[in-house]
Amino acid sequence: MQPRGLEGKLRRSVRWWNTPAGSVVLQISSVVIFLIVWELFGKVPRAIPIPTPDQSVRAAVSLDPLSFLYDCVLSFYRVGLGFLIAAIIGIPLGAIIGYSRLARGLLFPAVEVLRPVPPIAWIPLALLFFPGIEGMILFLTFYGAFFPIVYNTIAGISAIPTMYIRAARSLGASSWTLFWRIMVPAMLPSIFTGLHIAIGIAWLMVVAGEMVATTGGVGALTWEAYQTTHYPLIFVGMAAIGVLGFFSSQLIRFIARLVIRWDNA
Amino acid sequence: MNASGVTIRHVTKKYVTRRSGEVLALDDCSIVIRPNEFFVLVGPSGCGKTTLLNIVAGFDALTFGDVSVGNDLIAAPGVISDPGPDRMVVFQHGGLFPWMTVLENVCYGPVVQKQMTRAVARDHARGMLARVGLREIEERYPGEMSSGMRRRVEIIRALIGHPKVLLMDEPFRALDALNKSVVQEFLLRLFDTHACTIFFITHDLREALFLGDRVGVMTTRPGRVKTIVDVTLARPRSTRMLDSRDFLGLKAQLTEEVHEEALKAFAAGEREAAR
Repeated sequence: MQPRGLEGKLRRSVRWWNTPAGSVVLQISSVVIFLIVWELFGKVPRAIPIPTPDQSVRAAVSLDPLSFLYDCVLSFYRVGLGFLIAAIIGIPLGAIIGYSRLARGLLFPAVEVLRPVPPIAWIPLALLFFPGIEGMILFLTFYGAFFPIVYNTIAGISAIPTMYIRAARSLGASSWTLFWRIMVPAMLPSIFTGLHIAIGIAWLMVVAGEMVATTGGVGALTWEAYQTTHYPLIFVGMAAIGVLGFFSSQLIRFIARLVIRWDNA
Repeated sequence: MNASGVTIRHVTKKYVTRRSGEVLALDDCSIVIRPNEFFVLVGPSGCGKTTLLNIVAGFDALTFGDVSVGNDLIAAPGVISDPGPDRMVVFQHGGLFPWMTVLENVCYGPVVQKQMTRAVARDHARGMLARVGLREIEERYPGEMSSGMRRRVEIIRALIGHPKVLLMDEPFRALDALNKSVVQEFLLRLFDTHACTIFFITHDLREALFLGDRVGVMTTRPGRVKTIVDVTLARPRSTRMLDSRDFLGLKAQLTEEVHEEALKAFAAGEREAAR
């Protein structure tokens, strides 16, 4: 869906670009203009010219499809695993911090101390600490995803209106059903907000980790394209990262829609 | 459970706040609500109406006095009985769970109390919703309904477990005038057909007289019951009564009582602001 824009809300008159056909024309023009600008950048005289769109497409076609697919799957797997571990640890941790004052006092300060350090700054320490590359990258994706998940879960549980808890207790809920039937659904929207942010940061981290490690994955593909002077491949790597990131984010959105059925209106 | 009376005796509630120290919210407040009575409490905002209702519900503790529902002691100094299905609450801002459908909301109480199995509760809830004309919306989520519809479902959810007393804290406050009168009539029909005791809080005097058997007027803080007006209007009641001479006479009487307290509350507010 295209955002309507402020003008769309203010003006009632219909211009050609507000019609369905017009908006398709607009979208195509937008892509064409982008490609033209890119092509023009390629024409700027430089020692090493920026690869043009057609060179990039040719580079993509000449790639070995199997090894390219392997890189995509490997990155996706690294993101997915780190993200999953972050969710499995982060959601219960956030729930405990959000619920219990004791846990909040004990755990929250530690979380707060770590949070301001940008995850990328952990790369040297992670290299030092983890003997293998996989462990290092896994740590980075986990770490990047962890904080948004914890923070949004805390926010979710703190924002549950007391009224729902009171209503449930009035209706005779035990603590078990109070937790599973009231508190969990009430904080789900906020948890999914966290997961959505987290998957984006996990992609950021996997690219950074792979560029440092250069042992497979789309980040390594992009970095190696630069180092081995196969410049048009840089764009192929970037496009792959973009598409995979978009796909993951849509996947989270899709699951959220399945789980949070009551909030679709 | 059968409808029971509620006895509130000498209830006093003190808060300690950081800003103004000790605050006396309720001072020696006594009300006897009879079984199967519709009792309405009105008073200026901030007079402690909600505090009193929360004490009866088990959400809040009292400092002095005691509350019983039927023969059960609910609250006394050092005694708070947990909120429970004998004292169902209908909330000001609507307490339906947005993540459950209408049917799931209505079934929730009987199922978690293990009063009924899920299947029996569903049948029971369906029957009850059908009787009040809400059958078509049973699979909808609260977010897909009008606020008036949500209030009606919430009342059904509260009544399905046959509470001893129904506690309603300005439940129609957020409704527009049209929805409000529809839901008021809905509640009146239910009250006529179901044996229940209702403790209802509002600041809308028309609503108080239209619904209640008796209307208690609370003083400004510290809250205590100043007078109780007998609403001598026959049941079943209809909106046509709202223009009758009897109704208008009662309303004039009640307005005078409340207005006096509202003025005091206003003056107290001014004093506090000047401090």
